[in-house]
Amino acid sequence: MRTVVLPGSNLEEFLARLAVGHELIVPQKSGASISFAAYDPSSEVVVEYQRTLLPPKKFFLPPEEALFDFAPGEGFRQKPTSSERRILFGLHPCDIHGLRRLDQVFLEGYVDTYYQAQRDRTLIIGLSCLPDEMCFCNSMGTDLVTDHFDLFLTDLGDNYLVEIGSTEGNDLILDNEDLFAETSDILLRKYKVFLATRSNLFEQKLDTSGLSNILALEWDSSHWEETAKDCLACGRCSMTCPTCYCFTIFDEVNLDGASGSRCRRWTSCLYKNYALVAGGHNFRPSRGARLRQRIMHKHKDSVERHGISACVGCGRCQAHCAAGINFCQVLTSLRGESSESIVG
Amino acid sequence: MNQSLAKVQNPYQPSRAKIVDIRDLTPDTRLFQVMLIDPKEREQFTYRPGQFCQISVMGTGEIPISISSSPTRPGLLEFCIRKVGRSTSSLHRLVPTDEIGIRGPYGNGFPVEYMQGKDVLIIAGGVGLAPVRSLLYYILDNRDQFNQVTLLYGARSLQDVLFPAELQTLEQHRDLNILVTLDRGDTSVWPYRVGLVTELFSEIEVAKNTVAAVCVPPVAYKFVTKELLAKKVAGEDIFMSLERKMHCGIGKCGCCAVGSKYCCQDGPVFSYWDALNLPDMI
Amino acid sequence: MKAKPRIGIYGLTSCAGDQLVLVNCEDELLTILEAVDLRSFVMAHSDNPEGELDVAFVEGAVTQESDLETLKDVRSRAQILIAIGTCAVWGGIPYLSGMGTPLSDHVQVDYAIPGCPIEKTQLLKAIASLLRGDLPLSLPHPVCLECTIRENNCLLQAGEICCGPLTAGGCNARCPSLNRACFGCRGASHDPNYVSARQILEKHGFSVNEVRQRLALFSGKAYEKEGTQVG
Repeated sequence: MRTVVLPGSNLEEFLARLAVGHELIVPQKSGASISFAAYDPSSEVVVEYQRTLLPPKKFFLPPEEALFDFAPGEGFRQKPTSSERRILFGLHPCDIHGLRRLDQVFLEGYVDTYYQAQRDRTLIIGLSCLPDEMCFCNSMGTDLVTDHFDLFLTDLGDNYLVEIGSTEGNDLILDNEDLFAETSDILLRKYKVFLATRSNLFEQKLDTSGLSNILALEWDSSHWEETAKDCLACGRCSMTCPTCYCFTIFDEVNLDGASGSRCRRWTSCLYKNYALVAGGHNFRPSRGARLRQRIMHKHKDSVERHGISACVGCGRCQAHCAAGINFCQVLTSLRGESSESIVG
Repeated sequence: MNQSLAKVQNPYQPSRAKIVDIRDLTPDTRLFQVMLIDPKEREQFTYRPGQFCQISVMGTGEIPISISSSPTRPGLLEFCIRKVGRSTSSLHRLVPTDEIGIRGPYGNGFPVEYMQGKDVLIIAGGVGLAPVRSLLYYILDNRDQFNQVTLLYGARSLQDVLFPAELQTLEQHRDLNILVTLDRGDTSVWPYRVGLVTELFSEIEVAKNTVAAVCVPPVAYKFVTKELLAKKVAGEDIFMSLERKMHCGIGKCGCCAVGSKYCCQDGPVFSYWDALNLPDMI
Repeated sequence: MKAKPRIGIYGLTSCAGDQLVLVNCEDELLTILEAVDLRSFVMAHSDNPEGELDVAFVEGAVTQESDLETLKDVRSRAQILIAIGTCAVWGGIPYLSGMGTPLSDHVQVDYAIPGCPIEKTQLLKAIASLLRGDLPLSLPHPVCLECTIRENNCLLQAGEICCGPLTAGGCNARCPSLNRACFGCRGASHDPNYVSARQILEKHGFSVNEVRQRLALFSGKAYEKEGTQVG
């Protein structure tokens, strides 16, 4: 992979130039949290942060979006999608892996043209990070990223090492050549030291070996209902998850009682009526069954379906759970229970 | 430039369709005969028994409905719709010539090729007759490809029997065995059986090479499959058409997930073997 | 052309704040009044011919005999009865004092628009659906969905008595977005886990009484049903 160097002092200028001709999205402080938001010259770009509250999925699968407008006699007319070039700056490796998981869902099989349009118009500039006590991306194998980005910046103190992942990323460098320098041996050594240092910083760990097999065996575990006693079923873990993509589709009608829009909105499998069908049968009537669905889908079903876990170890679900449910701990206890039962 | 670069079609886009006729089947169930308006779309629309469509009533929303007609009888599409909620009530307010939206067909459908040369035992309960009616007519129109064919059908009461006249006509086919039972009923009015659909198993012989197609209410699968297994039908030869909440029909919205499968894409027809592997399937 | 739906709007024991929300829909009011046949709206005009109704909106809790009479009379004349406001849906504050009961204790309620007061957007969407001929869609989520979408910091996690996870969504997380804890004015969500919420708040140092008072304030009936189990 071609690499160049961006002196840290040039980052501000680089972003300012990117904002010309692109819709630029950067991590910014918003109240007590960090969020991806539109850049403007007065934006305070946060380059050192653990995790944004919402992951970048909101730019590809918006929380709520209109798919069609409709009117009698005119049928369903697709809402036009923007084709303005957009740059998402500052994505951590876990979030880039999250987008890869979403790509598997939305671009394989039937192509979700709304998602595709957003994906096609967006360049990704990744940014390195250091873990906090909730991060476990190195357990999930998502602490590093080798593709699915246009540029990736690793913070090495005074300089960023810039990996170039696409021709369009390369163009961004060529267009701003004056801001970049050639890679040096010292910097490459620093990069290796950074990687080694970083991998020693992880406190949260998840043993994923055989996890999907264990989960399959623990279907009837009492752990599900036990953990669900704490679960508020608020859905915050789903909303903040980079790979949770469930949505409902519904029509919203105007006051003429005839025209309107067909929309979709995020939902969560933790909601009571998620698996409720017309006629009144609920396929997951208990909170335990719903919590189990969420965890199974991440760590077992996705492995079976896509060959890869849907959890990218970003830690959002557990960092944002008001009930303090730590998903790593839940999984670890399930593993513990299975080893105990062998001994017993 | 060239065709391959043409824009991918929006899979959420409903096609316009016209209601040609609506027939009352029971007090709460109607048969909708529907025609795609665009002749090209009509021509290209092919399907398998057991597949479903997403039906839109503009302003109310979209719901998955099994196709009740058979691909062997092209022309009109038929949907058997029971009024159970908001969307189905809205559909029931429509009249012939009204327009609806259709997407599909979706799902896998019944494995009709696999059923060839075998006995086919169809078990339906209530409105579950709708998807297997498609299979029934498919078999009838390709009768020499299948061995003995039996339909066990259970309805709540006499007035809930779907297609009574059709069932009567079909019963007269010497090469179809049709048994209908009511959960409750007056045997003086109802010349047939009263009891649950599972009780019909005592009246039939099940040969070794039997394939079963089942569509019953969610709570009944456990009981029906138990009977089938007792009759030595192999788990992988029991095919069940399952119901789940579906929003997109194309494996995106996640709502119909059953383990690693999506009911809308990998189903709605699953084998008993799938159910053993995916614990909350039935 | 379909006949215009006949609408009636009624208030039982209440502050009339929910009816006021409708009156305050200045931009939409004319459109609505053109689309419906408004038969009865005591708050807005005096000439109210009573009779068969397609849709009745009823605000307020049942606190006295005359409320019950009005409610039963309206129910007998209306095809669809919609409870508007948390008092009508859950009994609201009157329920807490043992003085009032929700409409659904007495008659069939076809749809509920909770809120204290109700949200204009939800009311307008409901009216639009009714004009379309459908019951409005019910919102499946608690306040937390909208709160998270707005990327608010979690106030419950921050140690405040925030009723968001227990409360029906639809307000676009009005209060938490202003950094004020949710008071639960929209009444219980579909699946309120009061037991867990109580434990969380007790861990944060709140007394049993403080917690109960807040969680049960607007939808005491749901709290009694779901929240009295021992955690």
